[in-house]
Amino acid sequence: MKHLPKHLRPRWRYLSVGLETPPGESVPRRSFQRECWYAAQNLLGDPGSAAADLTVVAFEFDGSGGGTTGSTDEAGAEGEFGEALVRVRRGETDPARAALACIDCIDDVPVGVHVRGVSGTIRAARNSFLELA
Amino acid sequence: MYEAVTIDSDGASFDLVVDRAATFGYDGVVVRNAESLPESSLDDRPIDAVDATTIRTADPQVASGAVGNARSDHTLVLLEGGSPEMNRFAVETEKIDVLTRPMGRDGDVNHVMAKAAATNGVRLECNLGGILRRTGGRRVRAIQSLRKLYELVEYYDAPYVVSAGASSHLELRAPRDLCAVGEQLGLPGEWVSEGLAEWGRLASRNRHVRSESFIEPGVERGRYETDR
Repeated sequence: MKHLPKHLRPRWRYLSVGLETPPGESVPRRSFQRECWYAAQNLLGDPGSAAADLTVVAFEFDGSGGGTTGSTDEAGAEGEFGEALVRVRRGETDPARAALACIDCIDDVPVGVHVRGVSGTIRAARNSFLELA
Repeated sequence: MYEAVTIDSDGASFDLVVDRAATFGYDGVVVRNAESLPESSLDDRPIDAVDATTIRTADPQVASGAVGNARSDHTLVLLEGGSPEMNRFAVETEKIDVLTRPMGRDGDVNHVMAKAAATNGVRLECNLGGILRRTGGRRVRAIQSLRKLYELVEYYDAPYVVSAGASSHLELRAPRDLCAVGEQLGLPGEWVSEGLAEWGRLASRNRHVRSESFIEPGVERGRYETDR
């Protein structure tokens, strides 16, 4: 299908998210995406979830298979770290932030979630907040 | 802004909590069970660590004695509610700083308690932990309780504090994330951040009162005023 003209395309914001689990645990990308959708649906409802449209566009976690070691900039170590880039619609960053804060477990593994910052482009997010390739 | 945390007795988990809280932009952490940590573990931290104790009992008379004992040893004295009797006792006791979990278990807060809390300066805790970590019907009830507490606190201008009820570094959430969650529930973001900051104001007030220079309100030890 022919793509939309630029002025009709949706505008996006990119949330840089830091993840942390206890030592020896890991989080697969697919599970994180599923939890994002569940969290958004549970907190924001179907319309809010559709409006925010949380989509994981980049993901890296220590031990997730194929990924290199996640971010180690978190102070104090003791745990496994990862990071993700979550795309949301412009104007929906606060609901998306709230939904992400409600993720406390992924595949029965307790996780810490922290939104490091919001960017307008993937490149800016990578430059400012993320270490993933 | 401060977050009130419950810590396992080992110092390592407290180190992690303090590190994460500093990363997330908190000015300090309130340790709800400081008595279970090794002595001096609150000193020399990158952010402020406030020494607090939580009194848990179902009997107001036992609580009354415990409050008197704890008041001189800890900066903050919290009392865990959860029943109408304990909630009533807490809001009518000036020596208690914060009534935690007022809506937990069988607990409830009404207009009489909110007025008493405002009169006696007892902070009511709005705990977002139930929203962050529960699901289904239990989460719905937690949201309903929080909304009721918010409406009473707003109407009677009762003092309040906000926390995420974290018990490990993984359960900590950044202040901005908590404000965003609050806004989704109908609590203004400024209201949530004021509640997080209230812990710090409470701690500094109590530290001042406990310091040697303080004698009673309006009377302090120090140099004479020379310009009279």
